[in-house]
Amino acid sequence: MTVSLREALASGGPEVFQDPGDRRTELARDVVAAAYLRGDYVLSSGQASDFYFDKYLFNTKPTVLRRLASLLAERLPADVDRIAGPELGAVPLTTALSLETGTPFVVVRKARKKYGTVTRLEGELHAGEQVVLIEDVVTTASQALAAASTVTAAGAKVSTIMAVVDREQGGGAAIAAAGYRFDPLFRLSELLNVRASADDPKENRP
Amino acid sequence: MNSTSATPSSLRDPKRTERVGAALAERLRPHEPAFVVCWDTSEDVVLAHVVARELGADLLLANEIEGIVALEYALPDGATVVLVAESLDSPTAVAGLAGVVDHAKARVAAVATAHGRVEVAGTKAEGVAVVTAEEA
Repeated sequence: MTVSLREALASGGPEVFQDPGDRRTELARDVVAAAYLRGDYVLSSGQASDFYFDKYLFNTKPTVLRRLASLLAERLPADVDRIAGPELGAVPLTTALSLETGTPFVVVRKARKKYGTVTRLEGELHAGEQVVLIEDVVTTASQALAAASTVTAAGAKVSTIMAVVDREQGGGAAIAAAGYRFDPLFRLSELLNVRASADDPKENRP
Repeated sequence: MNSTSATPSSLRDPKRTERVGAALAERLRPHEPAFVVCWDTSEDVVLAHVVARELGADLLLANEIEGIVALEYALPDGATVVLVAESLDSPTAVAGLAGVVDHAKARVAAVATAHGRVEVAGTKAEGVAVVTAEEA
């Protein structure tokens, strides 16, 4: 016998909704499983690293992207008029969040040439709008802050920079120093703990 | 071409690039670099090409994609390298270049720019000679 969601709720039957904390933990595991790469890397900070989070490996998977958008939507400030996504990595994330919330979005291009036909904002953006900038991975936050400057130069107001992963390499402090609120879904240390737990056979016992 | 721009650039003034590149090369020559390493941008490559030519050194480009820095080909262990750029005023401009050279087990002997301030503190190039065109 199958029981519909409506019937299950009406009868006070089995819990059909996942606990928000469990949803977040499960998503952290899936982000790590999708995007954690081991290797020999040099980061833009000049530091060597034996791992890397490839954001394109989590934000191109619909099963992960949809849940990231869902969690970001829960944290999106109520007064937001528009969300903004810096090219290239944040665009799928911003699109998914826009679809989840119905909030329109604008794409922020990186600075390139100072001549010819140049627009750094693709889509509509109106002076006075409250904008939340969406970023995938924040390291030093230089790209996010450059994008925020582009949005504010167009007359809109950026209150918050949201991100999927804070690599905890000064980006949060830089964003705060620039006067924006920073709201990352996950911090790198948390994801590394998830990774460590996945590697520990004791943690995988039922 | 915008000939009225106030920003100096190796792309807009070939004579200046030859003059600045030669002057930087003379300041870098005592370090006996085998390689000139620069970011893979038009402005930096044009200037670094002149510096490398004057020094008789090889030119090697570095790129940064999504936070990962890489060289276009491997440096020999222990190679002596100078970093050259039109300017190195972003927080990670020196750090990324110096980091990838250090990671290749080569040695940064000096950092040179056409203009602007260079901050090497806290990078793998900390303590090396810094040369700017204004001083050359």
